[in-house]
Amino acid sequence: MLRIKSDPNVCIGCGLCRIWCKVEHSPSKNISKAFKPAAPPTLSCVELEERGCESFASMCRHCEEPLCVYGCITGAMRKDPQTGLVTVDRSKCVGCWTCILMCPNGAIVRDERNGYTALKCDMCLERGFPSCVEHCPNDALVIEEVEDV
Amino acid sequence: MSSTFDYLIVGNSTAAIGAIEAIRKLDSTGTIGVVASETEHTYSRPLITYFLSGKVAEENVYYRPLDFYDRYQVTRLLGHEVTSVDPTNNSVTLDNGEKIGYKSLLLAAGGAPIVPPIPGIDRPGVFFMNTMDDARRARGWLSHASRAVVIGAGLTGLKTAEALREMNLEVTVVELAPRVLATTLDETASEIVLQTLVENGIEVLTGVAVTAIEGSDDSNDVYAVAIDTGEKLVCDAAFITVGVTPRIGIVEASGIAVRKGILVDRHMRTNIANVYAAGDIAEAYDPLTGGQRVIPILPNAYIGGRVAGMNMAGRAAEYNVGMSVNSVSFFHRPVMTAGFATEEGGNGFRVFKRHDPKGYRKLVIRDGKLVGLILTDDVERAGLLTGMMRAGINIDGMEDELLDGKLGLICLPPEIREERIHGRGRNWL
Ligand SMILES: Cc1cc2nc3c(=O)[nH]c(=O)nc-3n(C[C@H](O)[C@H](O)[C@H](O)COP(=O)(O)OP(=O)(O)OC[C@H]3O[C@@H](n4cnc5c(N)ncnc54)[C@H](O)[C@@H]3O)c2cc1C
Repeated sequence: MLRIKSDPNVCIGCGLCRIWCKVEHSPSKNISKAFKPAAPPTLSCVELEERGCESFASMCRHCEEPLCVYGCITGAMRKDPQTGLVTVDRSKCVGCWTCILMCPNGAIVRDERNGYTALKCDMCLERGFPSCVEHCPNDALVIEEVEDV
Repeated sequence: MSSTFDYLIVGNSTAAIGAIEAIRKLDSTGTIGVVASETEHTYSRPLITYFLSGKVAEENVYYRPLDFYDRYQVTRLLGHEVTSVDPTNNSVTLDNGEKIGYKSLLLAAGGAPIVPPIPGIDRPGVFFMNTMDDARRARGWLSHASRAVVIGAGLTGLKTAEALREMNLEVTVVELAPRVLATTLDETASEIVLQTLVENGIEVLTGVAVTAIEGSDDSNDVYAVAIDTGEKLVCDAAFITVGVTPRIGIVEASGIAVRKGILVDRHMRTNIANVYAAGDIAEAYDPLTGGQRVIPILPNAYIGGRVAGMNMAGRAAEYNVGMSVNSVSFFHRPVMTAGFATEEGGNGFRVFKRHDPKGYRKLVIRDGKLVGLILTDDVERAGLLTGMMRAGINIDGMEDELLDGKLGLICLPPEIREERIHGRGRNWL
């Protein structure tokens, strides 16, 4: 199973991870369109954590015991038994935000662009490879293989 | 005995599903039976008001896909009430007299709506809002209604009022307490919710008692809700939403220990070794008070059910994350609470508040640790705070940062931070 690993030691705080996450989670998925004034607001599932000269990116860990899934009142949030990925079925989510209150990593955001649904790291399932990892210039974000779900 | 299951579960809702999913991870062959009074496919109880208003279609009210029971190899006995439990013979009795045996039993029958002693409560047009069936029946009735009164301003009452308003009914909420959501919110947050309701066209009367539900001269149907000011609130539908109480009646005379709910230890086990309870029926460990408490919320039902299921299937698991948490939106304004949210300082609590156009934030601190919160509007990354509550992190000196919402994993002590960014999130149970 693949997961994103974030390394605070080599993160330079450039924020490209957020930029590319926003692009991937925009309607156009195109960097020259996503940030246009007329485009809908952009949202990132990656946080850039900064204090003093320290920084690192954080995002969903696809927990083995995912409190967001357990707290989900609709069944929209689920952990895939095969891939272990925690994803939201946006057609079922009603925007109660219980997942936001449950997630100890603060890794879920409100998406109010088209209804009210939770948005979180999906490892860029559609794209095939996490865009934040691909665009990290310093290998502060890498893909690691982990066992188990 | 007509049948015996390795795992028998009473109830077919959140706690039951949590248990089934845990059991099947550990035991792929043991037989699982589910008995429930309701005949529905497992559904999300909080969505019934969304179903009422038509915002969520029936297939999206279901809590799990339609093939769930097949995939998890669960035998369903739906439409049957368990009337008693016999731990000596390891069996339960159904309303038709049938007995079902078990090797281990989970009681997950939830809570029953409280029926207040109001004259006229059984008139046509008076509804509870606790089951899909309630919502379905109300929906049919409301097709020819235009004014509704909701009795009780708790979470269910206010979500019902919101749904009715979205259906373009005129809605009045009547509450005995001096404010809405009085047990979950402090005065400031309660006022914020009240304003939101009023702005959206809901009338709210607090501090009043309902004296009767009246019919009219020519019909038995509800015609008005009479209140103790002498007023009559004319309506063609009324909703009773004054709370739920654990269905402990099913264990009467069984020797299974109860207080307000069925008492369970940290393994969700009752005083009988092979009998467990979870969800709204249970009185379980509350990490913040250190005692046992009934906390009737969905996340705890799932987690409690999961912990019970693991223990039933032979893997030791503890229920340590069952504090109270609630997140709800009224007309898209989010309101969140956790732990000792209503404390105002004193009794060992210190309280920090900020109320500005970005919203209301309140933190309750005891012995240097975060033990309660209220957030409205700006709820970004709220789970970082409950995560700190669950981990018992000392937040002395961080109060302002937390109040500003300038909070990140980067604020956490190194070892916890390391676990959060690199760990596998397996330490909760
Ligand atoms: C309108 C509404 C809105 C809500 N909103 C929220 C929310 O936003 N957030 C939140 O956290 N919680 C919310 N809740 C509470 C949440 O729904 C409950 O905490 C949760 O459903 C509890 O799950 P449970 O498994 O314990 O039992 P329940 O959901 O109560 O289900 C009980 C099950 O037991 C069965 N049963 C009952 N009696 C018997 C019997 N004698 N024999 C056999 N079977 C029986 C029933 O048929 C049912 O299958 C809401 C509740 C309501 C009604």
